[in-house]
Amino acid sequence: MNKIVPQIKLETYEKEVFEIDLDIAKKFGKLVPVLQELLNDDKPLTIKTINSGTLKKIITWCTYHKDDPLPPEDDDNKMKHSTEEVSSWDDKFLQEDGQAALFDLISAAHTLDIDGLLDVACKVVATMIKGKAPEEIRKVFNIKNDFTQQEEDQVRKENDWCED
Amino acid sequence: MPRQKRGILGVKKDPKHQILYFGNNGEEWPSDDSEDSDYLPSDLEDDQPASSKRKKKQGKGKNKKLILKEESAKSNSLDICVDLPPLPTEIWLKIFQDVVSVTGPLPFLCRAQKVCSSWKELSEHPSLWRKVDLTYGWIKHKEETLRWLSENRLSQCQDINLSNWTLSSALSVITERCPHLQTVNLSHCKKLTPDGVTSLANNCTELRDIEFSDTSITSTSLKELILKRFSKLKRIDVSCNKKLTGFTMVLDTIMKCSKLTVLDISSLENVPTYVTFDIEEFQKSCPKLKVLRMGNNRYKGTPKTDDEVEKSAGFPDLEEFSIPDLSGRHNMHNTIVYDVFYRILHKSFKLKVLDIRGRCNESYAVLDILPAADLESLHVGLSSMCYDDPYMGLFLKWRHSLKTIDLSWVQNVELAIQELTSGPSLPLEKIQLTGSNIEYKDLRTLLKKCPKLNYVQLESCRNLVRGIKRLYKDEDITVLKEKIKSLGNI
Repeated sequence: MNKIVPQIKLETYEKEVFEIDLDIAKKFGKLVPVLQELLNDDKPLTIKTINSGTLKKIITWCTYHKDDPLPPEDDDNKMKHSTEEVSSWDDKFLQEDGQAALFDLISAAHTLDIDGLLDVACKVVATMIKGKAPEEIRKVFNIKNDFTQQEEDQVRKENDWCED
Repeated sequence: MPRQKRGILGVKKDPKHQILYFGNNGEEWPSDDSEDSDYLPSDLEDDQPASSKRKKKQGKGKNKKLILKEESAKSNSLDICVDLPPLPTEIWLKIFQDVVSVTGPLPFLCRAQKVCSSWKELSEHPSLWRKVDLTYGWIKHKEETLRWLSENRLSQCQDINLSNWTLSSALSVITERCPHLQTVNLSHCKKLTPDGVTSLANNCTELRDIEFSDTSITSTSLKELILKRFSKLKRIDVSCNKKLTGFTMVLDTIMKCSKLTVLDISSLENVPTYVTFDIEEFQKSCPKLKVLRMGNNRYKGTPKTDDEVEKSAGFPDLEEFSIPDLSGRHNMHNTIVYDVFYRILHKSFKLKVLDIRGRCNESYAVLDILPAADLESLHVGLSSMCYDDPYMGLFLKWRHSLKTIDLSWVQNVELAIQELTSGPSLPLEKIQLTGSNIEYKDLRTLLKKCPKLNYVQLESCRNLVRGIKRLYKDEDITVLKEKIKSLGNI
């Protein structure tokens, strides 16, 4: 049963070429028509902003989720983000390589237009943020407080109505 | 533009205004323990390279080996190159939206303001302020707060909860600045003025959902509002209003709302002894009604022939009908005329929730002929039923689907329990038995037959001994079972 599956070729930042089954690459949203055109081409599509490690993660994620139903299209109400929880597999998978890898993955999912992956990855970051005080948030994401004393006073004054 | 220079907002910014990430010195991605504010990942793992090594070891022999090796090699290189990859603004906005959709915008957006200048800018994005609950406990209830908010944050707001606020002139300001409002909750608001309601009617053309429960809104204001916005209104709650006179007039206006799905007109004080309304006309005008709450008032339907009644499409989508009488005037005026009850519900096949607490026996006779096949929640407490077969087999009819039953203050509860437990086990989850005459043997049968029970209210049950009479929730149910067991065969 070794049927030949059509594959597409992607070249990463490190100039490493990956062959991906088309049925997995179908998760790549807007990129699908482009990839299909390149199907018979020997030359890989180069995506310089994605490194090999990230692309491998993406292939793993897409393979794991390849049979998921497609998210409903044209959901005009974007605020109605599904509040579904991230599955424990996704949660572990997204967090196991640390923060830098997760941010790389989000960037790559954005570039490749993989909605499902982008959704869960953003939810994981959102979970990191919620319920935290400004100081804790800065610590978690290593954000530098760039306010001058004057600006900080101003911000505090502006948000005085919400006593926290 | 090189990645490092592309700021969080996608625009090149002064470096001092950039969010800086330091992958090397930073905390590790917190684990589940991060809920604990004292948790510091560095307490557990002294150095990053150790964890990288461990990953390599773990990877051996597993199918993930290759990936993990690559990843750890890569993450080492990232550790050196210091910065985490910046994300484009729309991604940050998406993340912020995720937070907001779970926790609401407050106090999160006010906290985000204080993190750094980029986060401050992001948190002011009006799309994050679409649904705002200003009942949040730490907000200073000052009208100037509302003015400032509507001028600086709420330009795209669609849903605002102002419950319990005092609004003398601020409502006009809000409605002028927030023209996209669809949902407005003004319940328990003090000083609600006719001018405020008029400006709501005039400025907010998208209005779909209004709540005026327990306010001083007048029939004239309400009528004006509905007449202007009836075409889009889906939900109207005017319950517990003391000043709402001329109710029939208001009801006539409400009948213009063809998209109406939820109507709450319960507990209105200034209404006649019997409110007379045209049930069939109401059904024709509001065919999409899903929830109808009209408790604590008395109703009569305008006279119709049987033929006219049968020809009406009824309320085919109605899922909840609530018409309790909690006034304690038992056996006085609490009869729901059989006719009214039947005419409202005779085509409601999808009915799930029925609340007829405090209504007298005659009301129950009609339940038997209702077409609803899978009722999930039945509230018949507070009634004074004392004869042999008061339930007319209604527990037999719905025992397969009922999840919640309210039998509080019912004095022949054993009959209900017998009906309920007469077959195989039940899906029942919650039962209210406050003040009822439940006895141990019935309780025992109930616990045996209802494996899904997670809520049993036994306060004021006079046939039970002290120490048992309380509310049992979730794992408490096991406690209750043991207590009953230890009491032996009482």
